[in-house]
Amino acid sequence: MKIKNPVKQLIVAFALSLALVMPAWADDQSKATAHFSAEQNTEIEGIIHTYLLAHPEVITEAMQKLQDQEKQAEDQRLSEAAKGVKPVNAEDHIRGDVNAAVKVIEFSDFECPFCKGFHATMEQVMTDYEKDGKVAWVYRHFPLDQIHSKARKEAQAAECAAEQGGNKAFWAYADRLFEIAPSNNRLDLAQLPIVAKDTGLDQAKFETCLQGDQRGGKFAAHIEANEQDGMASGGTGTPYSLVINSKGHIFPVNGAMPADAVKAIIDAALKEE
Amino acid sequence: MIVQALAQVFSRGWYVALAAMIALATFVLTTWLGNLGLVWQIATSQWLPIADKVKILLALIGSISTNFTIFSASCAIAIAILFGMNIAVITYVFREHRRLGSQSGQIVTATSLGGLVGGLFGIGCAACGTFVLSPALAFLGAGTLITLLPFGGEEFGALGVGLLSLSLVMSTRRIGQPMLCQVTLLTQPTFNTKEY
Repeated sequence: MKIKNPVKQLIVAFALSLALVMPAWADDQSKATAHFSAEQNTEIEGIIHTYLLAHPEVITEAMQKLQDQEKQAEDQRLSEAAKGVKPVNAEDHIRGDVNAAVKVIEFSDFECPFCKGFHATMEQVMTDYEKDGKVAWVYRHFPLDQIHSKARKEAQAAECAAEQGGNKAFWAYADRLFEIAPSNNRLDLAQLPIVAKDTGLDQAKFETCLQGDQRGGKFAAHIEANEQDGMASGGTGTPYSLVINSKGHIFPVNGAMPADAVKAIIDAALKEE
Repeated sequence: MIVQALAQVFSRGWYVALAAMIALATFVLTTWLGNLGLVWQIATSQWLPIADKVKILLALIGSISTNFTIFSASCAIAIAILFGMNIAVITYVFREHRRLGSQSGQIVTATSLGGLVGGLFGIGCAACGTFVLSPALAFLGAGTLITLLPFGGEEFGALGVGLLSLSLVMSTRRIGQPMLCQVTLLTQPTFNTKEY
């Protein structure tokens, strides 16, 4: 578009200039209002100081709100972590009340020497907590094939015990197996049916159930699922335990802790109930 | 000479306290390392009373008797003590050399610190492997290498003890040596004795 009239040219030029200058000027004005003078700062501080002295409950409310926000963030983080753990269900082997407020999910390997020690520790812990029905102990398989090639077969054997005699038979078998196993892959697998007989099971039925490949026979999928669950929840070795309360807070415990430590963690989990 | 040098350092209460403090901290950290996530969770929990936090954290130290074999527990204790002694001796050497304006203390410190770092590789527990090497090897995709070792990785505990002992010996030797400025003659002397 051509403007031939010089006056009109001047008006257009002025309008264009104004259009360019206006935003900068407005910005400058807003910056000016954000910067208070020293006297104004002092006055504002005085107003805040006077207000807080007149309404000290505001500080308490603010602190409470901050704590609530932090707790919410922590709950969120823990619930995210809990999503990696399969909830306790009917397929699990549970000692104690299935509706207990705190559950100790233990991922274990029958050839692991530390699992053997921790099994005895958990028995001691359950002696103290089982009668109140506040704590349940859940056993899940986590055979470490790389160093304990016999562990998966032993896991299968424990499942055969459960198939024949239920939850009680599983625990009796697991207790006896940990008791006699020398650990570190030194158990003679021919002992497995003998343990079944020792715990009151039908040995012939047990031996039939125990047939199958080294992956766990007909329980291969269940044992594998336990293993995957352990890895998904952060387990890298055994024993690996998760102390979970009904609010979803998880305390992951690596390795075999002494009874005092386990009880202290359980007490902490119960305290939040 | 090493014994005399150690006696010289630890005749001063301050260095004994330093060594004891570092040793204790190292020992506690060793027992906690396998459960650092739990330790952090307990320590930063918003709803757990402080008394309960202290109770749990102290109880976790008891894992030295359940999470460690006799050998790995012995190594852990030895590493903690040697680490504390090393820090105290290195601090002594560095301070003495700095007091006298000598630069050689820095060389000793650098060398000894190398031994200290090497010693840290030995920290671990039998149930959970070595804390530094296991994650490092796993990162490189070679985590199973440790399981192939005859003692499942516990060799690194002995290695840690060895490196820290070596570091201590090297540091204490420096204490026994006189601090002097070495003069190197570049050429044969040219003065004629007959003139004197």
